[in-house]
Amino acid sequence: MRKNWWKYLTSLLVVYVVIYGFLGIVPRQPILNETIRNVYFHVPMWFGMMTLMIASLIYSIKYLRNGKISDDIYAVEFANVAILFGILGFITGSIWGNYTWGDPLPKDPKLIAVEVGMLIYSAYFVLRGSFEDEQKKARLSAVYNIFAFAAFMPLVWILPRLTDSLHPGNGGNPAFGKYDMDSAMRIVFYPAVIAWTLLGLWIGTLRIRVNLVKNSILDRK
Amino acid sequence: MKIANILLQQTVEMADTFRADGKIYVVVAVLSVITISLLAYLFVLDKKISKLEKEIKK
Repeated sequence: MRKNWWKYLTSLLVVYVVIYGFLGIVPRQPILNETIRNVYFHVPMWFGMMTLMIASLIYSIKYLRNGKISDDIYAVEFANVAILFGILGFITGSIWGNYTWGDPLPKDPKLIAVEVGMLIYSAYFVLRGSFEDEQKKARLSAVYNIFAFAAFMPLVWILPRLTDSLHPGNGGNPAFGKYDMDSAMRIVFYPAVIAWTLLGLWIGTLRIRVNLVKNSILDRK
Repeated sequence: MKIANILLQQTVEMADTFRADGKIYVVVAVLSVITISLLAYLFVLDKKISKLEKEIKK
């Protein structure tokens, strides 16, 4: 119970976001209209993904330092949930873009960067699948994970800002913080980011624990 | 007669909250059910895994 307090916090925040995301007041803007509420759901997916990727990176580095196989499990499962969040962010983005930008997949630098980034990360899982030896698999994929992270972040955060992008905060477009988001939205948006990120971490820890249990059963045999 | 009828209908109190604002409350209700159920499901999963962990420790 004491160890699980953050799970209750997560639940509370997610329910709060789902209710207030719809009932709260949002600015009236042309083209966007009510779809601005997607900010509470689409954007936190990417925040969640980034946090999970950082967690995965940390455990990959940890594995390389001490060679404990449990750290490898942490790294791979956090990466798994990160990709899930990325896919969700991508799908929700293309639904949103379809009705506001007029195209589900416009040739936007941020979209292309994310597509490339996701491919880089999927190679991480392909790489893992191609080794029999556990330690070798863990070591090489940990090294690759660091590379994938180092490639992904500038792709998504820096490159789109150098050219024109439809996304806020890129290529001269104002970021959310500047004009679009007023204080009424902030009180939902910040909890939303925390809520979905924590939810991702929670799902990640469940996957990790299942795998740790599986491992200790295999060790006994 | 007709107008009076409409007026009467509008003044009669009904449970209108869930039908107000383009029925958005219905959507909120549906989403709340889904979210809360999914969260409850996660809690159940969490408990099951905890049990497994305890069994392994024995």
